[in-house]
Amino acid sequence: MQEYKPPRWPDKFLEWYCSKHYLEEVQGDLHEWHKRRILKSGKFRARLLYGYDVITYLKLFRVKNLNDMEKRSNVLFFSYLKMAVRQFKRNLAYATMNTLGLAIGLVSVLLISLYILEELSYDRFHENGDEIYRLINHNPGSGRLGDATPSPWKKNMEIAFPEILAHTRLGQDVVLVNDGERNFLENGFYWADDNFLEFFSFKILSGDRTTLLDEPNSIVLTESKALRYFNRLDVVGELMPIKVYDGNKDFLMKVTGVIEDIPGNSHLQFDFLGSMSTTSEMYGRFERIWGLNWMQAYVRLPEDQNVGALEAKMPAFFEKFRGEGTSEHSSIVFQPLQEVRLNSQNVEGKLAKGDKDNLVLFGFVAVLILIAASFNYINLTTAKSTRRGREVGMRKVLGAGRKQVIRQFYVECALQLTLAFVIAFVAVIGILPLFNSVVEKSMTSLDLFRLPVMLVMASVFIVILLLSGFYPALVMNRFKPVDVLRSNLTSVLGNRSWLRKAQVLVQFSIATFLISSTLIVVNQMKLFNNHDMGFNAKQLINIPVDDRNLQEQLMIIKDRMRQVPGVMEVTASGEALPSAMNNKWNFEWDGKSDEQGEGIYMVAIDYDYFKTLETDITLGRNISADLPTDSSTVCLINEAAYALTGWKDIEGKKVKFGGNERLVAGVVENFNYNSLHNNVAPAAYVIFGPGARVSPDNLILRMDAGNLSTALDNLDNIWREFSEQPFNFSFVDQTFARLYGDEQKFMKVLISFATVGVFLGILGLVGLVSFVAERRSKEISIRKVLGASRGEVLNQVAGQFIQIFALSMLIALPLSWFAMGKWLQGFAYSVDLTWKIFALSSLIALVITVLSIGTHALKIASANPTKHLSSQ
Amino acid sequence: MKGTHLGEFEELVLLTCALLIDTAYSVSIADEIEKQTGRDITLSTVHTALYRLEKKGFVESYIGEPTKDRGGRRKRLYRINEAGFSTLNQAKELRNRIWDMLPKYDF
Repeated sequence: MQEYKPPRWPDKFLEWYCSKHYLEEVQGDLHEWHKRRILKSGKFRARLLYGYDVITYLKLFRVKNLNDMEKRSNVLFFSYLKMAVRQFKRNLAYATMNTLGLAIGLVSVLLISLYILEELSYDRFHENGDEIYRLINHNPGSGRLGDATPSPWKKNMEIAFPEILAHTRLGQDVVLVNDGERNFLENGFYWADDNFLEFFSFKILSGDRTTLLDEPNSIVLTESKALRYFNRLDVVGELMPIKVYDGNKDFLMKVTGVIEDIPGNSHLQFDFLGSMSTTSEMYGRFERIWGLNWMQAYVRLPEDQNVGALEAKMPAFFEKFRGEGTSEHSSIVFQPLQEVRLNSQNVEGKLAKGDKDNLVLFGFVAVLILIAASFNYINLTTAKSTRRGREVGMRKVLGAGRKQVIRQFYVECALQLTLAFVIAFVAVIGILPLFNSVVEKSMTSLDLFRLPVMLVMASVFIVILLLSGFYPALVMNRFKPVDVLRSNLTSVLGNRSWLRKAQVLVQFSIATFLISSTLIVVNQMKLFNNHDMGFNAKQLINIPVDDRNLQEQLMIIKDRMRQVPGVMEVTASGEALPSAMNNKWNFEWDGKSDEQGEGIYMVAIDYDYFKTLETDITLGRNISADLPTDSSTVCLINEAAYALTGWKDIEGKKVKFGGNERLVAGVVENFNYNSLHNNVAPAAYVIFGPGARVSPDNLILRMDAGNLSTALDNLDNIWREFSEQPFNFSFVDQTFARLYGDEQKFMKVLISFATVGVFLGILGLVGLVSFVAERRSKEISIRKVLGASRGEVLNQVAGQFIQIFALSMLIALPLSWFAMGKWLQGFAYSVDLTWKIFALSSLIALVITVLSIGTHALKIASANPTKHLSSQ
Repeated sequence: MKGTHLGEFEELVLLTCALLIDTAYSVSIADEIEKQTGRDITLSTVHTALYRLEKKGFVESYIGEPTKDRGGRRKRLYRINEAGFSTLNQAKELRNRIWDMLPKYDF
């Protein structure tokens, strides 16, 4: 018998809901059916289906009737539900506004929470992730931090740091991959140490994790690249010809594995991994050059390792292995892997960084919206409930107990809240694809149901429920029925206006804060768009020349292109515009003290460079083709480099970088190679021939706006004569604008959320004013009868709001000044926080308030007093 | 006729109920229907059909003796009554009549 026993929980459930009258036969039948099913289709299926059976039996006529239930739970529950629905229907417009207001607030909060959680989830999928650290190259002298580490570190660290359990590196390289017909420039190519895929937990689809990158000429590629180049996934053993840009070397790589595409929430993003041993011939000598910072490196440390103790050993390490005195300007800092995404603002490097400040600001906005929405809801609900004193009194007269009245109000609130939450969740699921496309993430609606989100939502639900039910349930309940029924409400309600005033204050402050903060963000964006870049980016196009052989002919191509009508200027450059600048050298100058370990970026140019870019020479002269020695002995430096040297003039001054000494011919105006997040770095401009890493590999053309398309066609034709690669170009101003894509996105999202917050604030205010007016309609009418003018009444109604408004400005504006000041610190170029911005935002807040409250107040003030007085 | 109409499944249950004299209750009926038709039957649908039939006055129910098999729980047994039987008969005759009227088909 025992083995035929049905599962316990469904059975209990059946006993719970089923009335005594039916329980015996139903349970007996079900048990018998269950036994039969076990014999027929096995125990597992039968147990599974038993629960289903129990649920199918849940028919109303079998449910314990109310008398049955009374003993254990609340009989009147259904009655309360009915009352709640009736209340909702009766105040349909008001209840809908209240519910929707809350739902809109919740939608914003949910979206922002999802975004923040996504950002916080970066790099958390690696096994032992909390033991992994990124190495940061640190210059204690200048304070500069960078993610590229010196290559000889690996060779020497094992002796000095026995604590390090594992170490792995990867370095990006410019590589052309051949798909059988043509070469394609792949930006996601990295050389990686043989243990890289054992070190990190990226998912491997085929291949043996431990040996993937052991052999020279091994290559591992992602799923989507396998599909791109082979159109299938089982490509292990296939051959892939690649061409390394540096040194123009060809390799025939063998595919040893395919990995899943790198998840969006990994700070490491790559498409191809080549085995490091492949490069020993090319880059092997780098292992001995301390000044060469190329690869990113990661280590695993024991769980309880004190990182500070390791970093304390750095000076001694560098003194010993790099050379005496080098610890002044070289050191290594350990950064926990999980901080890489959000805590790397001051670390130089090409990897995409998250912005912690933006995240904090987002979170702050979410909290404000939540407060505004909850306050509205609580406020309006309690306000509305004060009008139900008579109902409560009646209930009590008819024998309702305190607890029953409390329960009734809570059931009502819970119903409305549930409705708001359901609407919010459904709306978020609907909006998510759009939101994803704006913030360029791929969050799914499943993320909504993750534990943190659910916890936050549950606690929000409970807090709002408790607070909004609190007043009606407890305060209304205290009344003596006699007082209420005699309509002696004012005496029982007492003076609660301080509470209401406080709520209005909070609403005002939130709205003002959001308005002024948004204005500051918008201003900052305007600064980006209007900033003097130091050169004229309009009608400038950039043509990358990735092929080494083509670079030899760069000057010929340049001359040909110069002939095209519509092309005004052409120049060759070692850096694209914009670019992250690739060639950094140790920088020395006349009069430099030894401890200043500074770097300078070298840019290879030709004679037409500054003419084409329209950049001013502020000191000295330009490089000239007429002086033959200029090409080998002279350079120009920018103002940033000039400032670093501390010189008074450049007369006969020399600088040294990249192993050769050059005379400084002139100083060039600073101009931005990159986004305005970064300051202009010190740079030196030299004439450089083809064939080296630094050689010019871009053509920059100033076009005439008039006949752009025919000019581009002509350029295309010229390009085809020299190269089999497709003609590729970009407009410099557009590429620069794209660098601010993140900010633009952030701004758009912030503005929309801020609008929601302001909207909610207004909603609350309007609701409140209308409520106050309704409560005081009799008083106002009597005032008018006794001769008060419209203006006086208006003053009565709106006057108190003006005081609160002024107070809220005092709270919100300094807060905004403080918070946005912090946010602006993340930019190298930021707007000044002037009083104008704050004055403007107060003005906007005031106008909105007057418009929203004023119309309402005016309506009350102009109403005919008999209307309200005759109703009694 | 409204209120006494027999659904297809109800008719099946009523028939089976008539078939299983003195032993007709939800499990035995469901069992029999499964055997006869090869359909998968949900117990609660049989139950629901029986309740309806009882309400329409086609079957009468009575509580049986407790059996060991069901942990001492008694079962509610069903018995077809005259009204039920005549309704079944009517349904059958209606069909027979129409069958008789059918022209000959050669497929």
